[in-house]
Amino acid sequence: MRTTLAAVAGLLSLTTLAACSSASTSTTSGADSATPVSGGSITWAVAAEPSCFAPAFDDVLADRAITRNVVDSLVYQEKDGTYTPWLASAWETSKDGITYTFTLRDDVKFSSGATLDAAAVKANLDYTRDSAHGSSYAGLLGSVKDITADKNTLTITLSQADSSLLSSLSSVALGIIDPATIDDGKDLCTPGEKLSGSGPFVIDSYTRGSQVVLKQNADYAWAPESLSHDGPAYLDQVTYKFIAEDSTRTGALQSGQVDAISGVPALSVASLTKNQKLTYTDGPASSTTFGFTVNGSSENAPWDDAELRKAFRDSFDLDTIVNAIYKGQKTRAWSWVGKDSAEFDTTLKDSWGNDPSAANAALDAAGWSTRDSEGYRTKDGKRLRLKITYDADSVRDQRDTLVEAIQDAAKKNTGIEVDFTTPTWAALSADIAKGDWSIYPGSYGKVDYANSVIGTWNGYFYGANAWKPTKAVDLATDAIGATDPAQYKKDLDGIQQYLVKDQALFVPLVESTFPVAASNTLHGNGFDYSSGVPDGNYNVWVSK
Amino acid sequence: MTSGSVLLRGVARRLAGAVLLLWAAATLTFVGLRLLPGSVESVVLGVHVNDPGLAGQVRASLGLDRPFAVQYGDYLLGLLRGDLGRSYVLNADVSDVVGSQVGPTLALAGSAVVLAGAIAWLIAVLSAGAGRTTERILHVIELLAICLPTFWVGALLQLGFSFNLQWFPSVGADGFSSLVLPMLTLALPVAGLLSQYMREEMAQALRQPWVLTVKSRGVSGFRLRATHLVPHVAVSSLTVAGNTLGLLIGGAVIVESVFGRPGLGRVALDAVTGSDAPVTVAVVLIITAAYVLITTAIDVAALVIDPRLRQEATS
Repeated sequence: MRTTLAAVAGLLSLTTLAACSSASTSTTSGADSATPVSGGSITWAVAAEPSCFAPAFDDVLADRAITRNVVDSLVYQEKDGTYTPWLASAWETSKDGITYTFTLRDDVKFSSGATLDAAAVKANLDYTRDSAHGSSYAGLLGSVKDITADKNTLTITLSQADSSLLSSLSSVALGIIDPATIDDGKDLCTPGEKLSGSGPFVIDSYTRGSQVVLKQNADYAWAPESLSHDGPAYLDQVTYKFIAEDSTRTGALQSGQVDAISGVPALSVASLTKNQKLTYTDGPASSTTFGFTVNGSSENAPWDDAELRKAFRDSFDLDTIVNAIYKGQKTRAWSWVGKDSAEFDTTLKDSWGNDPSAANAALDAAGWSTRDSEGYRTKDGKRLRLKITYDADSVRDQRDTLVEAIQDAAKKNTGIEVDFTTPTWAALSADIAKGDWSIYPGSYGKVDYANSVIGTWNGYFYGANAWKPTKAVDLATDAIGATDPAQYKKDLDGIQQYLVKDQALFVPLVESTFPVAASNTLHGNGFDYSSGVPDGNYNVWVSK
Repeated sequence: MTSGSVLLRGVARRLAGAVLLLWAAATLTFVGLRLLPGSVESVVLGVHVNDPGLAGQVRASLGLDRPFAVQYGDYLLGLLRGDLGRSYVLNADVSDVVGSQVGPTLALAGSAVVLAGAIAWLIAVLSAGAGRTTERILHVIELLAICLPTFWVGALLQLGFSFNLQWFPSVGADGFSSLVLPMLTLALPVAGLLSQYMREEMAQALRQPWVLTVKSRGVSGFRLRATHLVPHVAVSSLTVAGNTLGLLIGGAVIVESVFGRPGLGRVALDAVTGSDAPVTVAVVLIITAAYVLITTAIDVAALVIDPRLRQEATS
């Protein structure tokens, strides 16, 4: 059985998905043409302290922005979704897509001094894919049958073709660390001397609850070619301060006490973009969108009826709600797939939503035609009620207001009662594990969309239910095995049509992006396209 | 019986009570956390909890497969050895997590109390018996200091003195300058409470006959209040100060959040929202221990300061 946990891990990352913003107000820092200078140090303020720095157990998407500084991956994912050499200088794929042969660079050293060779990479991948170790990313390597290492040649043999393998290998989740300490497992979560990667920076010091300081790796000479330079990073030192409070983070940036922040609150974007000393950059909308996942099983009756789910989906005017709440700083979503991804099915745009009359007709037809004294629809004396549970920790950036606005519109337009609560994650995840849930608002992060579908509905997340969106899971399975890009795209389109338009099992709300705001003296900020989060600081430099 | 042995017996009784209180706190937290919805496995594994292999591993490694009484006994023995267990969420030993956070919180809370005491003392000494108008104005100011939300006060101080004037850093725990604003934020409500109490106690004392006697010796005004009235209200003020510990802990959670400071408050908040039982228990125990330590110290100090208490104990 394929046990893909990537989506699950992504789901855990809900807690740190950052504020979103439309590209219309963003300016890109790549526009500056000045010559980079070496030296200097910068300070980032990030919203959350990573709970783990070891790639195999680093379950929170936003944390990868920090880990990326320290660990490299086998291949590099470009902006256009293609893959270029990184720790692997070349690779070949057999015609049937079963065997991948990687040739590794022979000049790469871990910060511990150990040499990176095929055996080191094999040790990493074997550790992560062994489910006994409890890595959230074992599923990324679920199709791997065998790995062999011979000096600098790494051969990965699959049990079936897997179109997501390079995507997975490019991710921080499968970043390579010194295998000498790999058996320490979760002990590596707290960064100390033991955690040793081959990245452009090395962890210098870590103060729990406060900050982590990274120092330049002076020996670094194996950057991906598409990055603007080679050799060591420009900066001598990078500090990440953990500042949970939104207003403190933005205030610290505006007063020059930190140089850059991620987790930019949508409502601060206007004042940040007005500030001439700052640059605001929005990340790509290239991961799963934020939206409602609806339990389609009979345990969630009457919402196991697709017509009812569609009626709820069409009961509110999402454009107006999103604009009113985010003042144009966020883009409403049309699909489960982010609009900047190659996989996005563009035909979904304007194809659903905001149709109360059709919704009312469908609800009448389903027998929910009477109303009680409060104006809610009833059937056989029972009120038409929909439960939305959102773990309190993940609620941020006006998402509760968004749900409340939808709650309001659903009542006014169609007489559906939305019961919105915010329990703890422990309580909610227990409900989900039991299959006892109705609507969960969130986004699932991603390494690979097809993988995400399987991990979400056929793996551990909603896997407890006997029910599953079989068609989406089958299409995703086919997409992963597809060796023809056209077939892959067709499968992905089918998944989106099924989940969003035909079945309303996922109601997209807003695009997920990771915006960054930084001082104008800071240049070269970019995004890691394997995860959609801010990239490490290899390209970053400061002007005086 | 000598006053020295009264002191010793008082302290011994206090210590016995303290141990009992700690045991009760440990037991209540242990049982309470087990009663919360959501199993320990689901806290550790999240939705992976459906993987029987992983769930079994977690149960075995945390000893959850043993009878409840055995788990409880083991837990108490662990506490006696100073073993606080391992965090479910942070992948680290609780003693390491909590140990690294005690210092910053102690610095914050300690300095805030000292500052609050100084402010309250100054206001009380300068204003006791100063007349109704002054008292009313001070009363309003004190009420404001107590009632204004800590979050709002902190954000305001931050905006004014860090973001705008740039006198102090807005975040972190590097040296004294980063302590000033959080300390002030935390000290304000405590100062308000203490000042209100001390002023009223002093005003009452002023009406007592012995004050007239002192006055008749020519001691009056500031000197009377500073040298005679302050010792008079010192013991009860100390007790009130000790009882503001709850205020300090609640405040520390907010202050540490606003000012991005490491500390127990933040750890406690994360542990509670993340259902991280071992860390929650550790924080509760530390707070209980601090409370016991402080009240005991104050009681002992009272015995030392006020000879009447010692006499009452012997009679």
